[in-house]
Amino acid sequence: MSKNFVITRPMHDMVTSYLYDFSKQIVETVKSAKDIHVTRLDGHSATRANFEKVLTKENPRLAFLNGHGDRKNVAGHDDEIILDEQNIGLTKDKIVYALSCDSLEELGQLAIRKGAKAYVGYKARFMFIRDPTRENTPSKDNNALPFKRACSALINSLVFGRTVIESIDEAKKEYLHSIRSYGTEKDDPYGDAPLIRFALAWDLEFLDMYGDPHAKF
Amino acid sequence: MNEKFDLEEERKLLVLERFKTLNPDAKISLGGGEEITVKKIIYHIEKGDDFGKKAIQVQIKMLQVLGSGVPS
Repeated sequence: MSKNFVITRPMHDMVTSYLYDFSKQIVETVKSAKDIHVTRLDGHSATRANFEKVLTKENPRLAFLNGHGDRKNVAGHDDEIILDEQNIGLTKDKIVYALSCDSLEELGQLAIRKGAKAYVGYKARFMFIRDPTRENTPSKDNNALPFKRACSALINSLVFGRTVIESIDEAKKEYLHSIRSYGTEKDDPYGDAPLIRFALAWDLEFLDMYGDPHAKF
Repeated sequence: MNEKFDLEEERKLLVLERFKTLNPDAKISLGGGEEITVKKIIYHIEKGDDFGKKAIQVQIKMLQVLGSGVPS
């Protein structure tokens, strides 16, 4: 029996285009995994109605949300709110990973009170650095690469059966590795490294979870 | 000699000095679609608001990571 997960991937502005790119790898990887079925709500499909329908009808065990957020909401296409206090009950028995700003502290705690197994997210703004000359091609942006690696480490780890806390640790190891290793001439031709390390340390500091740390997809 | 050593103030000054060595117009992208410049980060630190306090906390953590290896 295959395990279901749902991923929301809006891409209507610069930030969501980068997040869309960050999740490309996991989408490609699960294509070849026979026991995992992924429902992609990409671009215009990342609406509240579609997200609620998938949560209700397909009952995925993992929901991976990419998009803008704040303490009370996570958004989809064109910043439509797709997860908030009104529908958070739909995350019951599920693991949620929200790659968005701020949502862990309030929405994450509410999700757990409503029965979600675990909620992974950020307690503050999610930061990354981009190369302005590469904003039309996020996949070629070396400044964004260390952020992408950490986010990929987390979702890869979750999807392939590690616990929530192990998956967070994988992402934190990646952040730590990048903070320590970033800044050679090769990967930092314009001297952006100090700011990149600061933003990596920020994401490292504020990535966290509520719920069962030993929950697995 | 009566001056009391204020660790928080020393941290703030250290972090400010480090940010002042960076290009003030360099930007960080924030998930909400906004951007924040180094100049603005310095403003928040000097003001001592929540964002500024977080920036100090993070920069100190980063220095610990670079200096020794902080437990994750």
